[in-house]
Amino acid sequence: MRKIHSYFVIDYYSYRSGLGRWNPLLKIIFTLAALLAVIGTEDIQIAGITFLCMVVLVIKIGKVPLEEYGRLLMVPAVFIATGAIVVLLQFEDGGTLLWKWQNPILEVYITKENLKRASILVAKSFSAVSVLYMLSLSTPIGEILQELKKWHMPSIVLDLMYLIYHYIFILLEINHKQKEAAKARLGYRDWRTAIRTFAKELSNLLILSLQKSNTYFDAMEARGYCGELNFLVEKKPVTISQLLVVGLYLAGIIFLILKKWQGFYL
Amino acid sequence: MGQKERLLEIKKISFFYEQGKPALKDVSLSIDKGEKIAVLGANGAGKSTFFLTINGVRVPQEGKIFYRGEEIGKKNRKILAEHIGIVFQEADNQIIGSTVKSEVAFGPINQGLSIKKVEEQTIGAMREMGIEEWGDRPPHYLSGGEKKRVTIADILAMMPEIIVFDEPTASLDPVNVDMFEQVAMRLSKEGKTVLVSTHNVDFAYRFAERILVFAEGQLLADGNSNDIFSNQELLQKNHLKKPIILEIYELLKRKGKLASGIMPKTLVELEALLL
Amino acid sequence: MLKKKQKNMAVLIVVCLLFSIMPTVNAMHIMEGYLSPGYCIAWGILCFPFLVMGYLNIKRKLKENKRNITLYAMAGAFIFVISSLKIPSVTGSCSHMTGTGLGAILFGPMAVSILGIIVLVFQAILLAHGGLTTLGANTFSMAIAGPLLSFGIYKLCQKLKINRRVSVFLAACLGDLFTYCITSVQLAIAYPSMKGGVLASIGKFLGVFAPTQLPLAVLEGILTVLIMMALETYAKPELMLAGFNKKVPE
Repeated sequence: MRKIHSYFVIDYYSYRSGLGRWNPLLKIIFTLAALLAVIGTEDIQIAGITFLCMVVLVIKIGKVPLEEYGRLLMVPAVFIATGAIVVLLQFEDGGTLLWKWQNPILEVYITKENLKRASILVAKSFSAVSVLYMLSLSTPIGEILQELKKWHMPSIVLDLMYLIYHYIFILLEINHKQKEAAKARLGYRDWRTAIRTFAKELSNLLILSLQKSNTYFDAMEARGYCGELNFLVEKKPVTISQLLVVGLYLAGIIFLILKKWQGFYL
Repeated sequence: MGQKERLLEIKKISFFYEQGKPALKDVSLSIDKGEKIAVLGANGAGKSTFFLTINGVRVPQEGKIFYRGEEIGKKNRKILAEHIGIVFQEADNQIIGSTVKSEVAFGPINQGLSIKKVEEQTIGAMREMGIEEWGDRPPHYLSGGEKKRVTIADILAMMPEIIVFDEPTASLDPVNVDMFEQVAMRLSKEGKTVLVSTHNVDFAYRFAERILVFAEGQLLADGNSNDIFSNQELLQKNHLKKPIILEIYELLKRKGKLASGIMPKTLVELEALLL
Repeated sequence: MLKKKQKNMAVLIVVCLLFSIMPTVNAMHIMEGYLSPGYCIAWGILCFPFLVMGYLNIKRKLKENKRNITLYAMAGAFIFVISSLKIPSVTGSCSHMTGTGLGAILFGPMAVSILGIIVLVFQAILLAHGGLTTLGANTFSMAIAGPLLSFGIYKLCQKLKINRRVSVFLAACLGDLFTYCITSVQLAIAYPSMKGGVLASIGKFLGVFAPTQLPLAVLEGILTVLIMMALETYAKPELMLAGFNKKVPE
């Protein structure tokens, strides 16, 4: 198996993950439940536990290399940090002041409340991202679409998704070749040229893809396509151990939520 | 060989794309079971349109098509796709599954077979192409030659009676060209009818018993490969080269170094004729 | 006193560092987990009517000609690809187009709503740009509001007989800016300032993303103009994007 697009690490691992044998429906339910727990409770403890569970699952069972996983976590890090800083900093007085910075043009305050809000934000975002990675690093798009099909998603949308997913790789590969050919002719010698070349590549890519779309339809029809894509579904049964993992996690979370509530009322 | 079994018969079909100039014009021919046919002609000569037409994707504006004696109209043209499979020139144009197995199973599922049958034919075809280990792999991470094998398995899984290869060797390396030739030979031995379009006259001569030559949408010549490749005028007019083995055969014959006998298809056969 | 100064310096350094790595942010996808369930659902509901319209539109086009399915799929893949390719840059930073302006001009805002949400699902799953719970919010800003504005501006410019390049530039650039504003508003509603409320928060979010988003919007405008110019040089029949029921404008 070639690893063509370094950009598409997630897709690459989704086909070779140890979690790939898991039943996809169970994984989707697991994902949604965990996401709901994390963003619904806004609780650092729950976020932390979820994050740990997901990391352990993906690295231990999924066998995604740790450094690769670390790199992936950096993808949303900048956005999360930026947003957290916005929440953290305050330009007017108020709240329990922890720290302030004043100069003639600007006054910046950090309050206890904001610090708490920002840390919750960071915790739940990273936690939610780790949940998403658990799903995406172990479940090929095709399997997710199969599940959506069972949920009676309109077949037009599903077929479009199926084809788009497939065409993305074709177009990326074409663009990869375009770029090499352009570089060989000094198309990227400086920034101005590069921008022009980039735009030309894209417009050429569009023309090519529209032309291809015709051929692709022919090829589908030649194999008996008549308005709806159907694929062979690989059966991946739910096993006791899968249920155990998901059940343990959910039980733990529910316990924590109940405990928190009790604390509320006592 | 016994009785010939007629599979496909087409009578004076013509096909026009919207722009108006005909892509196929008055093409008539028939194909029997077990034939090995090479289709020659320049790019744009109508070969691909011809294939799509006999597969039922294109509906000719004029002419008639019969499959096993049954006339094919707009409604029953599915019959053609059921029995005539095309392996497209560019593997990427054909592949749409997200794993190799689901890709190979795409055709059988569309044929409306039972899941058990689909599974059986899919696995069978993958085994035949030596790719049964690749079931879970996503096709978009395969190399060109590997993709080709998948696209051939695609068609084998549908168990067609006629298999069409549209320029199969155009972008393959020598190893995969050999692989393809072996597959084509094997299929033919198993009783399938094989049509191959190609620019490689050496391969066409080696492989096929019958040659079709297309030019500008017309079927210029249809005959046994020895006759076609001996027809100097036809070859020249269509910018077709003579197979190298024939060139050498004729040269040696002119020099009086060969015994008379059948025209050689291979080097071994040529050697046997040497005096 | 000295300690305080050190602290200030530290903060300053952190902010500077942040801005220096900021350019790795692409279009403004709200990341997974950023919004609480209420907002996730609310934005989703807001998207719903637009998505239904887009769906019906595509469905009608497919009924006219079923071959359009591969055409639409290619258009969707194209939008994904242009939004995932790195724009050449001088500093080595890594920025991407949104492609919404180009998509809206080429394929129409209706089709782009459905194609857009599909692209966003794939960006979330394949690239971890955006997320599943934030899909509604991202769809609203990037697949609905942005393209609608782009398309509106483009049509308006055509009516006013404004130079074609200028109108393409305005459509793409302003569409991009609009997306960025909507995202800032979405974030601000979810995270209002303690004192100034949503309005103050909008200002903060707009401000913190401005250094990357403003140049990106201009770049998006320029690139879209260049792409449209290059497209014009191709033969017309190719550009009769039949399925999208509109010719590429003269």
